[in-house]
Amino acid sequence: MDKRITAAFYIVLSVFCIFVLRLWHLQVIKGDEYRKIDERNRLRVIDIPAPRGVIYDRNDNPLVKNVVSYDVSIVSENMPKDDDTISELGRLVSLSPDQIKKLARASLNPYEIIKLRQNISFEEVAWIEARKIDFPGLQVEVTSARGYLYGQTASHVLGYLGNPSPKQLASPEYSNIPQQSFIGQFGVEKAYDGILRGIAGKKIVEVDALGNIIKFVRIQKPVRGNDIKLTIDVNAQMEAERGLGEKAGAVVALQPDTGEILALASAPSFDPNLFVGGIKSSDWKELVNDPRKPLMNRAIQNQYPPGSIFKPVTALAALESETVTESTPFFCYGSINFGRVFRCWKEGGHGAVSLHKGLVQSCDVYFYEIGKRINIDTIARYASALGLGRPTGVELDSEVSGIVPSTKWKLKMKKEKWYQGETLSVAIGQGYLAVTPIQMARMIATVVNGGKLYKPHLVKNGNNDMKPESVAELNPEYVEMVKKALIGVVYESGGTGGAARSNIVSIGGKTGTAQVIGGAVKEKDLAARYKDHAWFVAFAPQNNPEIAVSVFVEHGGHGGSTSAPIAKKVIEAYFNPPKPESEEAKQENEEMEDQSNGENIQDNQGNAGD
Amino acid sequence: MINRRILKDFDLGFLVVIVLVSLTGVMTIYSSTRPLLETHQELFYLKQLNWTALSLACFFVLLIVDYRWPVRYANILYIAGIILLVLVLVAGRKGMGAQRWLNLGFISFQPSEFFKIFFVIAISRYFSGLDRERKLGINELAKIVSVFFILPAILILKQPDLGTMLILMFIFIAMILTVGVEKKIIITAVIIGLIVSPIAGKFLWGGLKGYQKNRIVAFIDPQADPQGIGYHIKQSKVSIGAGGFLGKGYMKGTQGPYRFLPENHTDFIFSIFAEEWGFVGSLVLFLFYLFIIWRGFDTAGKARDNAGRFLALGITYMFFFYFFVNVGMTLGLMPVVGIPLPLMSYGGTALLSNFIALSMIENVRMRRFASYY
Repeated sequence: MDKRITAAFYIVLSVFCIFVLRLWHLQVIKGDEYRKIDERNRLRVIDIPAPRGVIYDRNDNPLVKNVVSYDVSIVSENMPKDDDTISELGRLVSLSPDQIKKLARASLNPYEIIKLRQNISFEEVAWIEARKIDFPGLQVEVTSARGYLYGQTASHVLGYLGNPSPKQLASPEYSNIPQQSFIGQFGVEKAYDGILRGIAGKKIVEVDALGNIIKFVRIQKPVRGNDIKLTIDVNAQMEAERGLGEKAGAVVALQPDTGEILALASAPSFDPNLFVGGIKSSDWKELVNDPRKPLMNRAIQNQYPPGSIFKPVTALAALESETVTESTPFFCYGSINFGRVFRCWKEGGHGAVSLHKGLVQSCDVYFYEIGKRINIDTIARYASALGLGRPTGVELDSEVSGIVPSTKWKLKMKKEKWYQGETLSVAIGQGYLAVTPIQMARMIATVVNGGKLYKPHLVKNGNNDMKPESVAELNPEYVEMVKKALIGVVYESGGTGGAARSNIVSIGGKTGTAQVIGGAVKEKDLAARYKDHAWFVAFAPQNNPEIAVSVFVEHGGHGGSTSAPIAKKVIEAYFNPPKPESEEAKQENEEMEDQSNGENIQDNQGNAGD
Repeated sequence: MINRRILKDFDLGFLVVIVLVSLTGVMTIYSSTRPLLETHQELFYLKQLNWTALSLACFFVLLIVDYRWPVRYANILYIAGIILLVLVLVAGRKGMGAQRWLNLGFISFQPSEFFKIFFVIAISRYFSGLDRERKLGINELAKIVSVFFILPAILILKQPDLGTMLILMFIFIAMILTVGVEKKIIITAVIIGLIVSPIAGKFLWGGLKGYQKNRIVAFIDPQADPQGIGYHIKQSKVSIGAGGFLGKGYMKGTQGPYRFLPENHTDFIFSIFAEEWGFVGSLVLFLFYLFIIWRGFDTAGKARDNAGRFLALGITYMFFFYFFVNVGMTLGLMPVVGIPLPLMSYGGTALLSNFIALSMIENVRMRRFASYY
């Protein structure tokens, strides 16, 4: 029996050996691995969002700042599980049950704090605080959020923030952003996100199994994003938007000698503040389903026929190609026949017309005559030299290129040869031509600066002497001729742009009324959506122009009556910024506006495409 | 009852190691239940310290009485133990899904903790009466099993306390094997076991409670239910592994006080110890346990009579099986069975019963030469 006791002891000894080997395995061989799991257990990284850079206008007025925000969040563990409670929570914080479920799925650890919505209103804070008791773990925190100080102003330029998409999270550009962060998803906020974003900080804390913070381990402070100074002049911008009012359209104003964009407005617009802290599903649906498409930036994201504002391009092409000279006369009977009848907008005709008068009174027949004689590719070459037919390269997303038709283009796109009759349409800015408002602003800027094509841009560059992208070889004499004619459009009797006449500064311009559908339909019979687009391009002052403007009003009717006054106001706002308004001054302003409106109506000659 | 000779043979080293391990337990309980925030925390370590003092006193007091005295009254003790087990089922206090505590008003204790000792005393007495040269035959075996094992096993399983029942079974089998069983019986038992176990396994599986099934599933595949019992095993391994070679240092452990490892001051106290003291500390602790067990076997070998021999042996087996099942569980080598680590886990009754049991080994040892004076 003593032998058996000894045997038992050896069995015990071997068990101890196995345990020691196991200990060695766990603690020495796999020790580092387990220590990592141990750290993952108790260390939590709390992201500290970096304050984004402030966005200023060209005169240092802040447009976008960081403001105090109230955020509502819930501890992951306390997230309701059953559908009824989820939809009840959803009603409380204005989220759909699906959105809440999505948020719940995204959280990995039961003690994570899930942000449900950010930047809720005071009313919502009060409402949630009162009903908080029904949802343990629900809390309202005070944080910093984006504030768009001018509301809807320049919304298409400034853009908005949103959660990064999975694709963005995977790209190296966004490699170091925290999971629950907001990044620029539209406008300058997106284009300059890398500069504005800054670097998020981290707070590393030790927590126990219940998520209580035991102690701070380390803090890595966030680095504030850099500020950005836009080329936008907020006064001109607001004037442009006021001018568009309820109408759909776009206004682009830029500096002819730099390409700096002074105003870029698109209407209807939206309030980027809706996006702060994640847009409510109802608001998003409303924006996306609005038939007037408020999220679309009409200045760059859609193309339209230019109508008569294209005539300066035709005129320059004709002069440069010696198709006409300044004094070449054509006679306007109200229409000409070239395969079919091409009508002038003025039924009675303009009589004898020179190039100057042709531009001033926007005589279509004069340009048909040019169209009869000129090669379409010549027009295309000058249109291209003036920046048409391709995106301008402004910093914003989804810019369209427009269309400058040529023989080659038609062969490629329509598999057909070019007919001279089509050149007649192009000569007056119709036919296949398609342009964006920003292209037209650059076009007129390039014409009046003598051919220097600058890239339009929204953020001031460090070096002030911007080099032009290319220089169109234009005869200064011809440029002067066209400029004089454009001044005439506004100031001569019979000019179509009298509504742009200003007492402050000499303005030159060109009206355009672009047909949306072909054929001669009586104006009053047209449904709103078939009404002509109203265009006006302008520059000021006459000598050394400092501003070039294009105004586009969708289905706005006549360019001279609808768009020219808007251009005038934008130009005046740029040259004569409004003083801080007293009550009296406000009244005076209104009176002045009334007067000028009266004048406009008097001077209004109207302009029609063909 | 006690004389100089006996005092001279008192094994001081044995007691010192026992007390050292117990105090290590108190220290580890202190560290693992230290409050982290300004919150109220039950002073577990203080309670355990009080129990240690009480247990130590019992250790000495029981030494006065010759071990042959309880052996003489083994039958009465055994019956008293059975009655206590019945009482627990009738009037016991429920806690954590089981009915294991008996409340005496001023104190509540787990009768099964003491029953184990009575059980060992009773079978020691039985075996000491047998012819030492003859191996156990089938008839004797059947008698022993039915008298000593079946009834208490059922009563303890009823609580339910699977851990204690398993320990009893282990002790029982180990004792029988040490006494000696006819070879053909062992061979037949192994063959029958191999044939029957799949069927019995299925039957037993059906009889297990949900949480018991979970423990076995989690042991086989800890990933199956990481938030439940698998979580337990995983966090225990994390605690031990994170200790590394030298450990995090005393009071630097986090798995326990941060409550990532549940039951950290009771069944999983070893994980907490290993986290703070590392491989080196754990090795030293193992050597302490091994020393106690070795002294137990040694005492059995040197005992002056069969009763002392079986008593020392039975208690040594009991002590070893507790250590084996508990540490095996924390190391992830065995399924989770809720039994404490002897001397270290928080729990007064268990500590006291361990001291009483170990006191009997000391008792046998110090009286080993008594027959010659």
